[in-house]
Amino acid sequence: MKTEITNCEGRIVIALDGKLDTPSTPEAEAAIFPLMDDATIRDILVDCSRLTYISSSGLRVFIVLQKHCIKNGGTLVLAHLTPTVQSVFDMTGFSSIFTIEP
Amino acid sequence: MSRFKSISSRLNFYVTLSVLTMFAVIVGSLLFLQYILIAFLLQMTTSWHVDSLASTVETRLAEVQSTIWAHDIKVTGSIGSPKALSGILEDMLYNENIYGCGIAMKPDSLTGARYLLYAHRDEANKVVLEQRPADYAYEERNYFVEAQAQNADYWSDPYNDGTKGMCTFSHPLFDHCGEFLGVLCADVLLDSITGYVNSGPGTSNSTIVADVVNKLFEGAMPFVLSSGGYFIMPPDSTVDYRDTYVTYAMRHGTPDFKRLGYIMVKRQESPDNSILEIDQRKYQLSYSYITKVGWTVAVLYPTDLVNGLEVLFDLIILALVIISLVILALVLNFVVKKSTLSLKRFVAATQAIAKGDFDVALPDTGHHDEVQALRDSFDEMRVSLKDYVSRLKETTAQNERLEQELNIASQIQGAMLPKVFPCPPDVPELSIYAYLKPAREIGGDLYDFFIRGGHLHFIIGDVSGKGMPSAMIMAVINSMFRALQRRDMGPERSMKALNNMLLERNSTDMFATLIVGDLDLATGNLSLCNAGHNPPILMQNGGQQYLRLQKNIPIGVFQNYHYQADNLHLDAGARLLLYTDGVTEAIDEEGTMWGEERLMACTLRNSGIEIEPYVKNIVNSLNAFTADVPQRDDITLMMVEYHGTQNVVSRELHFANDTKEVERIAAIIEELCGHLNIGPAVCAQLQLAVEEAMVNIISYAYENGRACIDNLLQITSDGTSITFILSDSGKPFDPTKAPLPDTTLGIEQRGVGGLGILLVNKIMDQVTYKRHNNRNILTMRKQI
Repeated sequence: MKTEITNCEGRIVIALDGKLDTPSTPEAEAAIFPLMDDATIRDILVDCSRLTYISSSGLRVFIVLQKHCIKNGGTLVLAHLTPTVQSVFDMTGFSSIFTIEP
Repeated sequence: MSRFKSISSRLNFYVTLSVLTMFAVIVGSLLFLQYILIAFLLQMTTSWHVDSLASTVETRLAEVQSTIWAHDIKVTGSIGSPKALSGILEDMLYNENIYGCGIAMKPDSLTGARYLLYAHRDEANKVVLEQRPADYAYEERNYFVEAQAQNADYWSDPYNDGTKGMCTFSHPLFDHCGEFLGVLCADVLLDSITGYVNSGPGTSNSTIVADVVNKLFEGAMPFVLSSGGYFIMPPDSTVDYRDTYVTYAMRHGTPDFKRLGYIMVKRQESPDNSILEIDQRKYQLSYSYITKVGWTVAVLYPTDLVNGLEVLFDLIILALVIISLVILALVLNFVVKKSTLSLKRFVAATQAIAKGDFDVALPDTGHHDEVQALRDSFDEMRVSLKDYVSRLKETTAQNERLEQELNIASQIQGAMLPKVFPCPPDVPELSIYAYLKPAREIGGDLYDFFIRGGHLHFIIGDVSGKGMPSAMIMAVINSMFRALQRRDMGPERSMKALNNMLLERNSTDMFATLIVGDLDLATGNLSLCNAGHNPPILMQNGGQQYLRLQKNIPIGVFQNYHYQADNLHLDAGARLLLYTDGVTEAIDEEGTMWGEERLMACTLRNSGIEIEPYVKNIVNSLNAFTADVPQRDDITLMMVEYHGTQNVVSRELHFANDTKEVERIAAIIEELCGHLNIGPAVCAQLQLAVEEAMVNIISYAYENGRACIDNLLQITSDGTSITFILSDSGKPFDPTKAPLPDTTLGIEQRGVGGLGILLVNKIMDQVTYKRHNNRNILTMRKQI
């Protein structure tokens, strides 16, 4: 699992590469969760084009990010979901509560 | 039961009884001896007494005779001279025994003139001479007639001369030609003779013997009889000189006196019986003769005095006996009581010991006697008992501890053996049932099996010996087997490794017979390695037979022995029965072994029955055979039934309580999906479902994060569907009953809880849960 965070004109872009399964989630959380301490960060885009797999523990990262953005009046956008990840979002009903861009 | 409550009373009784008997014998003898002795002494004493009396009288009479004889010559020389004769008579009277004396001349043959000169003492002791009147015909008197007739001395019978009773001693006088001249005579008063007798012996002495004799003689009646049978001295005052023994006897009515008197007077032989009764009193007669005079001196001794003496002696002896007995009884009682006192104290001490007080001090008798010896040996026993009891307590505690440990060991051993049947659950290819009954709490038989990587690994064995040593070896083999199979070693190499390991770690020369087997569930290929174990029975295609496998030696004998395995193929429906020699070598009451034939017959009878009742039926047949004979050896039976398979995939995966395991499992699923031609999307879904189920177990099944390795994932597929079975020994949790999250809620209300189960349910076609043998078993199935 690789996590790449870039700041693009005030908008944070998080690129996830690999599998976000139970063993790898803590690693991703360690990279991402420090951002939550910064209230100036409002808009976040997660690039999921290389995210091949996600489990329920991986979904928790998205929930935390979503709650942060709403709290600070920003938006969370998930982009380029692979079919596999998309199907997990569908099965869990997360498709309707996240902003997902193709 | 004894009548006596104590040793002392018994001793007292018997000792007193014996002493009493002895005393009775002694006293009886004494009394008899006393009777004889007294009779003898009496005889002696009375004889002596009478002899003495007779001797006294005789002496006096001899004096009289001597006086007469001494004056004979003077008289004959003085005849014709009255003055001289008077002087002679006066001289003679100096003998005080002589009352009077006289000279009576033979009357003149021509003139008939008489001459009698007589002298006697008057009351004033003055000599009185008198010439008797001429008409006094003395020549007709006895004293003259007899002396003249016999020409010899003569003692007359008693007579009374008118004033006094007397006897006369006559001595004939002769001239030188031997012509009879007359008689010289002396009168002796009867009273004088009585005086002689009464002054006899026994009166003057003052010794004790004399006193006794005097007492004896107090009632004695002495008397003197003349040769004519007249009483010179009467026995009592009722008679006088005119009486003879005959008249006395008649007067007193005692014929015995007459008889005895006759014997005495006539000088006959001594009578046999000298007892007579006079006036209702018994006397014993003793007598003695005065030969020169022809008199008899006799004494009547009253026998009642003698009897009294005897009674007195008897009483003295009796008193002595009684006193002795009383003293004996008292001394005996004292000694025995004193001796048994220590016994009584001893009893109290031993009762205390009996109640368990081994520290009680035993009483000291203070003597070196048997009781002390008993006390000493008892004390030794007490000390030994104390030691023994304390040792016993220790041993008992030790035994209890050992027993407890043995129970725990038994439980541990039991836990080593898979016991859940039918087993393994949810392996459709296989049914296994096993039965093990150790002869003791723990035993040396073993069996084990498990499925790993689509293979059934099993072992059955029998460690030599029984009990704890065998059980420990059994445990070692069991764990080594499990460890070895993890390395996917075949039966041959497993057996070799087991053999070497056992030899390296076993210093007790114990060995074990084993069969290690490996069944490929997918193909039915079976590899069996038999190390000296009983041949298993294979039931296949309607036949059954003992499998005579390669003969290998038991393990634990030779290092590096090369074990060889047999390879067989099991068709679907094949059954393999494995057992230990406790089955075939079980004996009945007559010592007959059950044997392979009976086992085979029994399996034939039960063919077609489910394996669990099948094995149980064999056990029942075996029990019926052995009946009440105690089980000698551990009994183990294990039956494997192979159902065959159409599965293309079959895996059994253990996973630790670590989320990292997820990646390893995911990789295996991906590989299997490749085999099954499952696309990556579905594969990812399967991975996700398995991950969620695994994480659920890893994160929530165990409290305190117990590191557990018995989480198991079995994956099987027959090509149309794939089945995942997850089992864990964590706390019971049924995910199918867990509340699912509401997927319609907004982000503010959503959490991640329950999402995993939700995903599992969404992905899988069928999700079932059961709790079995303390394990959660979750089965997930999906069509492919």
